[in-house]
Amino acid sequence: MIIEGEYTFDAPQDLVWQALQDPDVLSSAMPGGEGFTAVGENEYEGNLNVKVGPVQGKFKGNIKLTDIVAPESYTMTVDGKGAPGFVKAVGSLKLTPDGERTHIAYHGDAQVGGRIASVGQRLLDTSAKSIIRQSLDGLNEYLKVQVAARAAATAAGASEEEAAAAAAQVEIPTYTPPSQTSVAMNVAKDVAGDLVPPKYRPLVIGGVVLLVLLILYLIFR
Amino acid sequence: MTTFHDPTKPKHVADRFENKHAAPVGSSAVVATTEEVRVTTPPEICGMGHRMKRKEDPRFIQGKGRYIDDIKLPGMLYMDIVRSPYAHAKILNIDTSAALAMPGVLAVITGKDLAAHGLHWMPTLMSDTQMVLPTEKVVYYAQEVACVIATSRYIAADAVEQVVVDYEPLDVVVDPYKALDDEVIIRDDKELKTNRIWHWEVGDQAATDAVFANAAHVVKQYMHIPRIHVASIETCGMVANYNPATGKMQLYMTTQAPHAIRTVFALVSGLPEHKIQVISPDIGGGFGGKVPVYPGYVVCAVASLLIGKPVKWIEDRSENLQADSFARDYHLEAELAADADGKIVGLRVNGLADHGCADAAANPSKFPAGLFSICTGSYDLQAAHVNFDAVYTNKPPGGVAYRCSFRVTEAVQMIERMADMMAHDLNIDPAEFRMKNFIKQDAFPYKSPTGWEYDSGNYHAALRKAMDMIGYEDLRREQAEKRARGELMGIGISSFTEVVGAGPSRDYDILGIKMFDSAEIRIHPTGKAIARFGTKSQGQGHETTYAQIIAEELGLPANDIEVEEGDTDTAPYGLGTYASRSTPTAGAAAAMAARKIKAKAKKIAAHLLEVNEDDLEWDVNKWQVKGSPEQAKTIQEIAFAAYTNHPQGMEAGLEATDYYDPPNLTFPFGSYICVVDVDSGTGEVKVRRFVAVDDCGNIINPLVVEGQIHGGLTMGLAPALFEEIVYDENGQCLTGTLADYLLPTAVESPKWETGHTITPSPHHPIGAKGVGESPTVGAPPAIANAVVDALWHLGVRHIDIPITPEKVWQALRDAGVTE
Repeated sequence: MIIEGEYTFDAPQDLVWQALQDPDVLSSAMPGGEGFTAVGENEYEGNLNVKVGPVQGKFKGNIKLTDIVAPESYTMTVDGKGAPGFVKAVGSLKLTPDGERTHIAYHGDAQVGGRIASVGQRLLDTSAKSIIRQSLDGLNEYLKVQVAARAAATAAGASEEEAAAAAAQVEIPTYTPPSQTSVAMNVAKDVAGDLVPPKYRPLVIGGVVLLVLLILYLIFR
Repeated sequence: MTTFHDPTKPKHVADRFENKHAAPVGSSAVVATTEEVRVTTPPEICGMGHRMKRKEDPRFIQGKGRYIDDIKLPGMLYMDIVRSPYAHAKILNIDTSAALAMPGVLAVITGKDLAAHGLHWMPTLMSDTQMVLPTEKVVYYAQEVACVIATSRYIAADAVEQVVVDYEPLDVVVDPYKALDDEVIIRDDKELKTNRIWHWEVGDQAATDAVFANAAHVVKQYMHIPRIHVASIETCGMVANYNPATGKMQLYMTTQAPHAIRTVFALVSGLPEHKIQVISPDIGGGFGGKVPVYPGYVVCAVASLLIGKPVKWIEDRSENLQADSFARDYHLEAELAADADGKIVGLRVNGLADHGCADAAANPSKFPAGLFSICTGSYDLQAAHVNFDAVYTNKPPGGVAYRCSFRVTEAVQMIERMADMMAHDLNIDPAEFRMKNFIKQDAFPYKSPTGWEYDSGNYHAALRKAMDMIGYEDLRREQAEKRARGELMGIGISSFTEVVGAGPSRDYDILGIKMFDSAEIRIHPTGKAIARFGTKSQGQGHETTYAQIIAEELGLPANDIEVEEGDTDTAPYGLGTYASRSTPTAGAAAAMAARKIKAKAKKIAAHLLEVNEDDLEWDVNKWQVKGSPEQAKTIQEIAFAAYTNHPQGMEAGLEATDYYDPPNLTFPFGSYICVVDVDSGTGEVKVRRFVAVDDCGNIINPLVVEGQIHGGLTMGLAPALFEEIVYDENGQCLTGTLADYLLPTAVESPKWETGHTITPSPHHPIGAKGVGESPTVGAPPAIANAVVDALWHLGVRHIDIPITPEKVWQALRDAGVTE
């Protein structure tokens, strides 16, 4: 499965780079992620709770960053396994500054196996994209808080270092990661969105509304 | 155990696969064809030809059938299976501690546990070997790795998630052509380090080459007959019940061949055969998928043996789709040659069989590619040569004869596609082309270039009837008009020849056991009867049709005959039900056993009537004195006398057993015509009409035959348009649910229009041939031919089945059609 895309964070490159290397930030921004810890230089371990269609379960994963060119690019190798199957992925990430914002492009090849792939096959692609999108959105929310903190500190006349320290003070709790349910709902929404082309969506929604009204009418008449 | 040998050893290739199957047989008379179903008994007797409603159906439609999962024994334990997420990987470690710590978990059985008893490998029905549970490595996705035994189904399923297996992934071979390179050896347990399993040839290569050298026209096409699954409603399962006090092992099992399974279990386990009872209760569809022994069965039985309690194992749907034996998966390069007059003269086929990780087909042992050599089909040609290789890949083992007599579906798909392609190339109407090339009625018994002796046939009559039923000429006119308007409509024909009823003992055996079958009839004193068979119905309606055969022979009402199958402690030995063999073998045995009873009944009647045996003649249900029919004894009166007033010196009772060894196979045939409309925008294929004319010889029950054909046609529609087991490049199965592996429902199925001709088998006691598989074999090429017929004028020559909208859409775009 090829995973690729682009995203623009509302934060300067140095903040984005920092965040993308911080296991705590990543595990809270990633839906279902928990307890990422460093186990070596640029190597982390943690758990990922995944739900794809009818299959759910916990993957125990190892993430390794290589070919690091700060603050521009790195290669990420993911090796995860658990009861629902396994995932092995290699991907590269590239950051380019875009004024006060940062543009990232990612490209990766993931091999997914086991029950999660055979039973959830049709939902896998969309689910993966949805989880990535939600992760990036989550990360962006976190980064916005960071930027705001830095701006506040700078406005107060503090030096760059103090500003950075102030930003670091903004603990992750100020950004609340989405709940499992909301993640699942978003995935479901994305999957459904993938199934119905945009031009038919009003028709489908209209049809569903009519059907619900009909059922309600039949029940309450 | 001496019958199990390593098929990779070349010496077996030579002596096992020698083509010597078709020896001369009985009658040589040309058989006349009729359309009238023969009925000789009154409705109250309901012998052959009556549209009797199936005796088994009242219990099925009331939900009173008894399937494996209905069997609940006191103290029963449950098994669930840990399966591999990799298609090829070394097993480094299996940690069962977390699972064993769960309350309610009794055992986790691994390959090492089985190895201690020498049970980690088992033979396949093709004399290959297959892992029960692995000790070194896994070779296909969803392979059984360990089994959990627990006090409830839920605990077992939860415990499966707690078994931690460390794998080291190995390179995977999915493409059978890559497997030929031997860069990755899948079965490194074998002596010869190669992925090649066997090589097989049939026909005369030199004669075929000569015919091709002189041919005016040659068409050539590669085609893949995709890997599919039987997907029966009931998945596989077992309840193993070992009683340590008596030493008896009861195995309730979803099997189509209970007797052969008992023998295999005895040989593999070392348990004495009389202490093993295999019971095959009601079966919710078999279609060949319940012939093999799967690892789950073996471990379930071992678990019961070790624990001393009953153990139940039931597959879930995904396990069934992903790990059970597959069907088909033949890659074929076919060439068909014709002379200047458009007469087919030669056929050349190069085949590659993708067998997955083991050759677990259930073919007769001398036929590694099954009966594929029937591939010259309904056509009279001068020479043919078939050249086949089989390889291992990282996929589940197979391939079973899915509702076809051992690879006949593949053969028919190939020859009917090739015939159509030749007709189109020569610009001859496909119907006219077939009429011109059919084996003529007076040529039967016909000796085919690949060595078969077709017992009977009348191909022209069947095709003519199908053309009349569908209005062929009008449809061609309609097609021409539509084509002028840019609409896509196609008409497809398939005129197939089946070969069923394996088989004569000189050539047909499975693991050395000859492929006869058996019937035992006992008439009770009050004129009622029980009949037992070595076969096993999975929905075919044996309880009705066997009773009708006996009713026809003895005049006992079919309703007075109890038919019983599937319990090896009571039924006579037989090889089971698959390959449309039940009527040709056990059905014949029923008639022969009934005739033995009839002969004894004659003696009793002569005694009762105080006349000479020679003065008696049979009339429907009684022996009567010639010229004086009022002096007669009915079969019921004779039965009573057999227990109360039998002649001195004669054994009491009225019963007989027959083990029937058929002199030849039977050759059912038919012509199917299909009309499709193709949506050029979406590539969707709609089957508008489908006419099926079948000739299965004498018809035992027209209602049952029609039911078989309706079901079979739907199962033929499925691979033509929907079904395929798909793997990604890592050997991951992508079709693990019925949302991904598409089965047709009533919505997709057209209205099936059926008809018949009757050309009785000259060598079968009741002239019947077997029909259950004809429609599955005949339907796919009719549909494929119809689709190609709709697109031929655009330059489309071939589309592999399943013909999905995506493939048609692509073919249309490649041909320059944009909307």
